[in-house]
Amino acid sequence: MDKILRIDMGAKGGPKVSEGPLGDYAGLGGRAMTSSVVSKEVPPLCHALGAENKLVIAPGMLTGSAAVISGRLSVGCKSPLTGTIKEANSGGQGGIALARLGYAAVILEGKPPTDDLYKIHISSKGVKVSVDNGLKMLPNYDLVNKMKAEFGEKIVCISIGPAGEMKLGSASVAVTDMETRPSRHAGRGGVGAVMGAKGVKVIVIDTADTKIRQPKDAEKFKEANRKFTEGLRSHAVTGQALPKFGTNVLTNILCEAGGYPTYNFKEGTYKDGAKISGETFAEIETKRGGKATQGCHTGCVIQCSGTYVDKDGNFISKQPEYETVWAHGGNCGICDPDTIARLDFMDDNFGVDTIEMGVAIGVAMEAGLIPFGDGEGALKLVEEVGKGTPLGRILGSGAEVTGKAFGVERIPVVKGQAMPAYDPRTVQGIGVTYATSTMGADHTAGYAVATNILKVGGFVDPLKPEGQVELSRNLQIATAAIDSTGMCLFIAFAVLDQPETFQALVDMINAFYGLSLTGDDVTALGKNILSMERDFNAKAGFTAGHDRLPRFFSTEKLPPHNLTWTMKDEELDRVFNW
Amino acid sequence: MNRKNTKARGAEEKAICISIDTNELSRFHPLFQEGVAVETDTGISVREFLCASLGIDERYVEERISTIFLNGKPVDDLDMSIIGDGSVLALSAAMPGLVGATMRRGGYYAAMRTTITHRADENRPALHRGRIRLKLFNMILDEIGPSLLQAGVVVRADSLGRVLENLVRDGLSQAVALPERGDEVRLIVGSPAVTETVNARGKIHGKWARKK
Repeated sequence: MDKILRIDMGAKGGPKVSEGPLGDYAGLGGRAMTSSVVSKEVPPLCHALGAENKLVIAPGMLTGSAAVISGRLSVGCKSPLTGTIKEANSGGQGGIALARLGYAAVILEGKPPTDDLYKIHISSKGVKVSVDNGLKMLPNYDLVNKMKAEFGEKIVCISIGPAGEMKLGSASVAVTDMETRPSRHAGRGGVGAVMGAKGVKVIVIDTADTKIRQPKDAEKFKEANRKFTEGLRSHAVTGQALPKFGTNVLTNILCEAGGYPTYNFKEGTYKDGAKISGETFAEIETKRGGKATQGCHTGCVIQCSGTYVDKDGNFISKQPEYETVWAHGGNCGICDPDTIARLDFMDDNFGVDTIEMGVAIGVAMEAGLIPFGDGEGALKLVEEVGKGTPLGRILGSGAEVTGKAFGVERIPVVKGQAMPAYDPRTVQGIGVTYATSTMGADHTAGYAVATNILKVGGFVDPLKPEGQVELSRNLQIATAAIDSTGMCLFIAFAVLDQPETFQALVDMINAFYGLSLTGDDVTALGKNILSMERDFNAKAGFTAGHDRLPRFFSTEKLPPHNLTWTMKDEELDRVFNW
Repeated sequence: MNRKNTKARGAEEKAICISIDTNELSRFHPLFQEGVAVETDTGISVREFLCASLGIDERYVEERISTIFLNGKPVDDLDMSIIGDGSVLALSAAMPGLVGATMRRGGYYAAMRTTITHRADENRPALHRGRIRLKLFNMILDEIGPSLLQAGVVVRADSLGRVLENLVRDGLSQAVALPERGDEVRLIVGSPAVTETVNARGKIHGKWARKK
């Protein structure tokens, strides 16, 4: 990864391709790369869909190497959904393919003067950008099939569906998986709309002649990778629960805890949660001949994904994630796994974020557009998004726009982004992260390694009252650092409990780059990223007043525990004091 | 212990014994996710219930059942959390995600859910027989579920009906007459050898459902 590919989509005479050295961005990957480029090169006050915004696509630091589970791909820009800086990341094969071609980043710049739609073909022989208006409004699955017919089977696609072309706030960037299905998405924040604004429908990467990235110290790297793999496989979460049930294993737990937002955040427990739990999905998949255990990219040893098929064994979708099952399921009062899987497929096909889409439908249900529990109605609403009808465009623009359009008060968003599947009234600590994250309401911003291992910001006693703020701060720092490595965040659980597994990760990075990083360096990296992001947001007009949860969380009690959000504003304002 | 014996509720439920291949026991998992009724001494700690009443190995409880909810509240102290008649107890292995880590017993992130944490029960109620609803999730389902099924649990007739409907559809069982919707039945499930033994002891008053 020693070069950056820039494509100026607005250049005179047509898109202009240039490749250059890393320069100031040397040593960066993933979120560190995307947020560095955006904060340095994008005017914070620009319109997210305008020519001044840039879409930065960056593999992680270890992506493309032999490091297990290191295939994450970051996509960054100014978000059209939130107006903040944005990094959304995805599994799939895209990061690995780009990294093995030597690209630390692909940056789409400018804006085409016409409404032509482009495809970009990248191979070891070079980069070709061409107009292909025949791709207009193609859903992702049809698009990928067309690309396979044109370029052969050995390709990876990074693409947008109709939602991205329509520049909707919930539009995602799709990445093909190991089966060359566009099932993995950089979902959050409308990054697909920015790709659509650049006029780029698809980036096709030819994987022929690509080579695995080699470490500086092969022996040390191999040993650290072995220990790291061992740590993941021996842990109860990464070695057993996730492979067997997927991330949706959380449904039963959150329902039991009363923290599972139901009926658009009106209740904290879904009475039919067991019908859509990870345990139930795994049982259905196994019985029907699908797969309950599957990786989303080469080198994944956790294998938390799967394949969901219908009663006749026909593919419906990949195994829906916990957040997807929640957003389209319990949040909307829908308890039919087949319907949820079909909604997941439609989201992937039209290219929308499943969380944003599900929450928007929940808000629409609250408005009375369709009743809670109406699975067929929900399918029709997503169909409207794919067709680009006026109603579909409202829904596809996200939960906040939907709520405003239909006069709904209970809109569960922070900085315009829909809240994920954990109610902050029950788990107050996660509410701190929702409120203060640089990205809008985001569950992955606090999904990271143990701060007591990293000693991020010194030792924190979580039992002290101020512990919530300290924990959230440290989690956000650690997450920013992990997001830069290309590692799947699910490594966190093994790292959380097993110090030797965390050490193996640090050793792996050091052996790969010939460095001698310590936990302090990891902390510094995370802080730098967050500082850049906070600075960008401040210049874009965001203040402490934006680091708040919607008022209804403070005024409406959530059954069954009947709790409200009680964190004080002054506490939230301390999160980034370092 | 000064135990007061009282007649357990539901002592007259219809009992149903189902013999099935052990590979198909997961068919009954939905019942545990919704919760099954278990008769037990109440007024005892969660640890006493798990180890003494259910006979689960203490090490397994300590190391495997890392996430426990009592009446919807995460439990940190197994000895100071007391089950009462009508309690709901849910058992889970370690779970993913920040919230999964937060819910863990005595975990580092427990502070993030202090408002719902189950507080220590300072005053123990008197011991007496009662019934609790037990839920099993994820890895615990496979690991504890079969022995509970073999020992017998009380389930809602309509919930069992849904499970049996699938078994009949897939040719794994004959139809079984169930009580009215809302009633409860005592269910015993095991391999043919186990259920034959149970039947021979005359414990079963309901119809048999044999594998075809």
